[in-house]
Amino acid sequence: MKKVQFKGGIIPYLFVSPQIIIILVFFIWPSVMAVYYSFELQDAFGTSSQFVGFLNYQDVLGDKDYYNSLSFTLIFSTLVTLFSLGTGLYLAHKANEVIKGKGLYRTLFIWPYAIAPAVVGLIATFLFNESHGDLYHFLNQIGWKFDPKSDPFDAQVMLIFISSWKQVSVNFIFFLSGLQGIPRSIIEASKLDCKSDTRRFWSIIFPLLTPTTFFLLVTNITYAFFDTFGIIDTTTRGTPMGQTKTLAYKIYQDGFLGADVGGSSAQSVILMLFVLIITIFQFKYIEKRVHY
Amino acid sequence: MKKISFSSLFSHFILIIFALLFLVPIWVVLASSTHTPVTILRDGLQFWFGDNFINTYKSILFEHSGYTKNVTAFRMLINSLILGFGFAIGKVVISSMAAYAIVYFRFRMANFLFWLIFLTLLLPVEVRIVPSFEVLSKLNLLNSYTGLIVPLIASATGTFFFRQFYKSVPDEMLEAAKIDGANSWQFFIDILVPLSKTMMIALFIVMFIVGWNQYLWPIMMTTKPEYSTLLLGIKEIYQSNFEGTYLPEFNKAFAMTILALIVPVAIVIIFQRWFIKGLVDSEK
Amino acid sequence: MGYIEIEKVSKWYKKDHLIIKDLSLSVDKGEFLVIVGPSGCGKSTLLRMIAGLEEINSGVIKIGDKVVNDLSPADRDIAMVFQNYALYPHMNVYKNLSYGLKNRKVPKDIIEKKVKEISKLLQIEELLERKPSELSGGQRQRVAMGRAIIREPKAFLFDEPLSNLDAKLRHQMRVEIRKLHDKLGITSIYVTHDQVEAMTLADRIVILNNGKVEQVGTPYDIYKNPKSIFVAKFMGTPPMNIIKSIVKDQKIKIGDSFLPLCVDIDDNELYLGVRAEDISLKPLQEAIEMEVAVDMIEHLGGESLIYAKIEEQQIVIKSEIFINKDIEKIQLYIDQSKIYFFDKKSGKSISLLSPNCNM
Repeated sequence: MKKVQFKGGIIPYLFVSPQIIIILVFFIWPSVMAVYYSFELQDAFGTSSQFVGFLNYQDVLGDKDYYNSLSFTLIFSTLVTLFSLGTGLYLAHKANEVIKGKGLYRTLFIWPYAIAPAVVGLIATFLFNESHGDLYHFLNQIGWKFDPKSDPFDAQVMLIFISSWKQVSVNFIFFLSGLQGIPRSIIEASKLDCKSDTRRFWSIIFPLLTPTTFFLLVTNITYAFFDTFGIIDTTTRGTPMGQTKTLAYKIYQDGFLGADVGGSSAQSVILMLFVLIITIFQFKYIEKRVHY
Repeated sequence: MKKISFSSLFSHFILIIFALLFLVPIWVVLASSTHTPVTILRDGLQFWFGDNFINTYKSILFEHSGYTKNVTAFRMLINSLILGFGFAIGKVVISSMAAYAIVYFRFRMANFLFWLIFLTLLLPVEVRIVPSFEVLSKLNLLNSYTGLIVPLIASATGTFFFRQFYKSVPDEMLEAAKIDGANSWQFFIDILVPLSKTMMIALFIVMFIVGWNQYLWPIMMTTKPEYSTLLLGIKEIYQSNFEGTYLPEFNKAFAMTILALIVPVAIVIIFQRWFIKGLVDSEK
Repeated sequence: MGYIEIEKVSKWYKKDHLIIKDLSLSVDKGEFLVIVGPSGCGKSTLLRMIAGLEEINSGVIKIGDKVVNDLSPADRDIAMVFQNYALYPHMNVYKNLSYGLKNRKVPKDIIEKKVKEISKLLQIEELLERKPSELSGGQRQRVAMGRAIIREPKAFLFDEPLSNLDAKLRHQMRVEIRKLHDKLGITSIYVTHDQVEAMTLADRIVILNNGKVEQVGTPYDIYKNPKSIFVAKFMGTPPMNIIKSIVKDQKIKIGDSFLPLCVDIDDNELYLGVRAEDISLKPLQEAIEMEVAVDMIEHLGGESLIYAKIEEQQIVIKSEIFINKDIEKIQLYIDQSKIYFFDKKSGKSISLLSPNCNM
């Protein structure tokens, strides 16, 4: 903290209280409730409940559907992160290299960020629709019997593609910013030391992007876990056969649509723990790895 | 005599291809929105403009549509704007104040409160969905602007953003102010806030986009159509069109899609520099 | 034929705005050439064109008889020391030094040997495991030089390497750089805006102004025989005094004296130049005498700087004699042979007094 500060008193409490109050009411309270509910079982009509210990957790962890969702979420997140991170980095590197048009390219790749995932999903529905979607027809014409409504694999691929499409922009922005932050003289020194562009990129430029990369890793994983809700809800909604549900989407389906309070709360708590691990990783490794 | 190297041409080529990858879907939706549904049904998605532009947009903006048929896209547009503005302003005000307290004051609960705020990072909306509905219901905040905006504004990102910035303000600033006789409130209003103007604008712009694009929260916290935002409206049209038995009104669906994205996209493009600043500086 | 040849080289960013104008220069093998000039004169740009970091719009650059215009920086066999060192922040000193060799597929054991040699030469042996952020300014500068030396290039290029150091360190490093050069004998091109560095380091100096070469010569030559007002004022501290004087009837007015000129001057005005240290406060033989009004006196310990006015034009006199600060008028004596003449229109120097009469 700063060396020069005001002494205590009531003022700091006044300044911080609006946020704290909202946090207590709308973050802490519901979260505590979620933990509480995760240990209860409600009857069919929701009128009474009883304490059941870890039963809900056992049910969840023994549920095949949960494991489907878990494995899908993990694979989905890994692939989306990989594709959008890689593409974003590649485009940022190229955009940083060109002499003319840097500003134009930046504009061209920054705007997709502003589109809501739900909107992206809807646009995708039009394009992948079986009656009039151009992409649907195109894929079938080149020999892929594309049918996201009945083939889970097709649906999953489609989701991965759409989700990556949306996320490239964020990675682009941060990588471009990171690249522009590398002092020009270091790049020039490396030009004198190393002839190959590729080698220069991987031995000098990419290592200097490490803080950015780690940060984006966390951002992308968070996006894939949570923000893709909008995409899923407007495209597959978990179909076919429940193979395109992320863990977050499953919580929504079970808790909100299916009224399974106990089960969805248990899932929420498990997800909370996962986020905790990711956040610890973020603060431990990102702060440590910033090397100069 | 400048030589145009192969590698530079290749770079441009790749960049243009990808730029098109992002532009074309939007373009197709925009162009298709200006045709009649019959054209689209018959010929598929369009790549150029038709002459149904005014018709389509007028009808969605000013006629009632949606499941319950008693709300216009115009109303939804207003709601999205309110959500965007309200969220952004709320976030900027609350976060700057809380960050001020934590950075500039030495008080007992400072550390504890900081970690409490930090805790919100562990609790994304999706994790507290179901109980939140109950909480809002108990507080009578369902179907209200307050309920839509207030619960979202207390997450830690804004506070960290300002905390980072305040830490970079030189200590001499505060010392000079103390000598000039300013108390903590005056220092905040007269000196710190003007200094942070750029940062506030940057954060505002980023948060406006976030607020406008809210999806899950409004879905759950509103049941009355007059509180629908544009995003919800599109979903409804989609549902009633593609899963209902009527002739799908594609043009209206497309038009609403365009409306839903044109505002945030325009803001990001026009205020690019601020937007990037708000994004990149907030996570350092 | 020099070791590095720059032939009629030009550079522009916009067609009508040239940064380097048709410049030609020859660098001898093993020499220490310093390029000086004011900010924006193009000296850094020229250096970077030699390095391959800037494109050459027209003209040819040859290094060791090979035309390098189209070669990438890494292929030109030159090394560069940057103003802010440009060390790779994520590598330790050892890796920074060996990176260039590693990319050129030099075997590991030879790399190790060379790193040992260089680090001993530059006294950075204990720093090999450290990262740049853990080094002081002077240490970083030495590592930057080590990185250049280890490759045994055809030439060293220095881009204002000492500007970021404090005055004392700058002095120290300046001496070290020259000593290293004398030891290794590698051709060096050194760019700076500091004329003291130029005077002390150079075998030859190139003075650049506005993308063009003003003068080339040894430090002594440039100091004693400036070819233009620009060069005369640029080199030397304090800068040479330049006074406008009236010419009448083939005589030039200096103070109260009239000097006869040996050639016809069209103009009725001429610029006179005389260095601060060439103006004496003690009577001299065959000197021009004049009395001037004193503006201000600065005492520097070993010498004083006296600011005075001749006919409303300010001049500076450097003297070892201690003059009291209250003095209002002072008597000056200038040796005729120490006076330079410059043409009013072109600023170029001319010899006017007999017996040295050649235009």
